[in-house]
Amino acid sequence: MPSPLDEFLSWLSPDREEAERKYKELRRKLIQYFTRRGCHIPDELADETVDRASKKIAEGKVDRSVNPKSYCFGVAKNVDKEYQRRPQPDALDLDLPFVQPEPTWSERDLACLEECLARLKEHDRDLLTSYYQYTGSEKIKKHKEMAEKDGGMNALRIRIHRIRNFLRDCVDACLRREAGNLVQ
Amino acid sequence: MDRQITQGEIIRKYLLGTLSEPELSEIEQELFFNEELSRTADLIEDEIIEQYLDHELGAREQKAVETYFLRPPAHRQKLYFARLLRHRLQSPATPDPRVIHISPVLSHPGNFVRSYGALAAVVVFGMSSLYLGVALKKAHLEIRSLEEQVQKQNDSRTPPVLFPMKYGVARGHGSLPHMVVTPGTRTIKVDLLLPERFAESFDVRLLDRRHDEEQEIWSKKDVKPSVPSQPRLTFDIPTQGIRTSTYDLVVSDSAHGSSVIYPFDISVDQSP
Repeated sequence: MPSPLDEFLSWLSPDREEAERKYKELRRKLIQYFTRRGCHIPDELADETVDRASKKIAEGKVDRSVNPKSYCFGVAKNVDKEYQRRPQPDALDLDLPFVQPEPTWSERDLACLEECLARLKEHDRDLLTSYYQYTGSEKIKKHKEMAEKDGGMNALRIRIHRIRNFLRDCVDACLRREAGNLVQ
Repeated sequence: MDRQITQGEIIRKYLLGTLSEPELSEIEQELFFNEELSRTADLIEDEIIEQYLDHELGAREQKAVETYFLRPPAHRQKLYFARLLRHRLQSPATPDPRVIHISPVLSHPGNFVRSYGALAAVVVFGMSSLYLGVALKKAHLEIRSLEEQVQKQNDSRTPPVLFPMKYGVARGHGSLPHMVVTPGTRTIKVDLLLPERFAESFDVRLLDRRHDEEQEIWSKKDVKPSVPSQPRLTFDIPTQGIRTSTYDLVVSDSAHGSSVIYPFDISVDQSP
C-alpha cells in the first residue's frame, strides 16, 4: 500500500522523477514562506504542511484536480496561524553569533570566501569591493558615482545583489565540501 | 513607477512583520506564486540587513529586525554572511603579503572591544628596531604610510623583512603571527591605529604566555593617542627580557578596563 508521501508525489506528477523535482521546489517555496513569516523553524513547518497535505490526499479528502501548490499554500497558512499563536522567541533570545560585537571568523569561512571571491569576474570583484569600501556619507556619494557608471541605482543594487547571492551560494557549497572532507 | 515603490514598501513591511490585512494576505500569496516578485523580496531582505548593519534603521524597524526578521535561520545566515563579506572587503582588498592580519582575543566585550572588530598589523624587522603596527580594517592606506615611515626609520643598509600572515589567527586556532628578534634589535616599535570611538588613554602590557604561565615582561600606563586628528597609539617596547615564547599584547581602556589581546610568537635569533 503506497504511503501518504507516495500518494502526494503521484499527485504532483505521475512521473516519479518529475514528482520529486516538483516536491523539492514546493518544499523550497514553503520554507521561504515560513521564513518570511518570521518563523524560527521554517523547515519543520514546511514538513508539517506536506505531511498534512499528504494525509488528506491519502484519505481521498482532496480533489486531485486541485493545483497541489495552491492547496499546500492554504495548508501552510493554517500551519502558520497555529504557529503564530504559540509564544515566539525573540531573535535576540536565540543563540546568535551576530549579537557579539564581532564574530570570531573561522579560518574555513574566510578561506572559502577568498576562494569564491577569486572566482568572480574581475569587474564584479572590483564593483563589490568599491561598493563595500566606504561608510557614512562617503558611501552614499560613492554609490551614486558607481550608479551613474552602471546604469542607475536600481541596476547597481541588482548587480550587487546577484554577486552577493553567487558568493553566498559558493561559500555555502565550499563549507559543505570542507565539512565533508573533515568527516572523511 | 508609483506601483513599484508601493509594492516595495509593502514587501518590506511584510518582511518586518508590520503589515496588516488585507495587504498581508495579498502580498504573501503573490510572493508564493510569483517568482519574480519573490526575487524582489530577496533583494529587499538583503537591503534590510545592510541597513541594519549600517545602523540606518529607525528604532521601530530595528526592533522588528531583532524580534521578528532575524528569527529564521536563513535570515541569520544572511546576516552572518553580510558581516563576513564586510569584514573581508573593508579590510585590505587583496591580501598583501606585506601585511599581516591578527584577530584579537576579546577579553571583556564592551564598546571599546566592539570597535576593534577586525584589525590588521604590519610587522617590520630592522637592524636596530622591530616595528609592530596594528591598524583597523579600514586603515589600509594608513598602514602603507606606516610602512613608508618604517622604511625611513630603519637602517638603510638592512632593509626590513616582512612576514605574510593569515586572517583569523587567534591563540588556540592555528599558528600565530611570528616575528624574529635578531641580536641587533633593541626595541619593538608599536603603532596602533585606533577606531573612531576610542578612549582617552590606554594601558598596554606585554605578557609572556609560555607554558600558560602569565608573566608580565613590560607595561606602560596611560598611553594617550599620539595624533589628535588621527586616533593612534605609538610606543616602544624594549627587547630586554624577551625570549623565544608566545606573547600577548594587552591593550586596555584605562577608564573602563575592557581590553583587546593580540597573541603572537617571538623567536630570539642568537646567531651572530
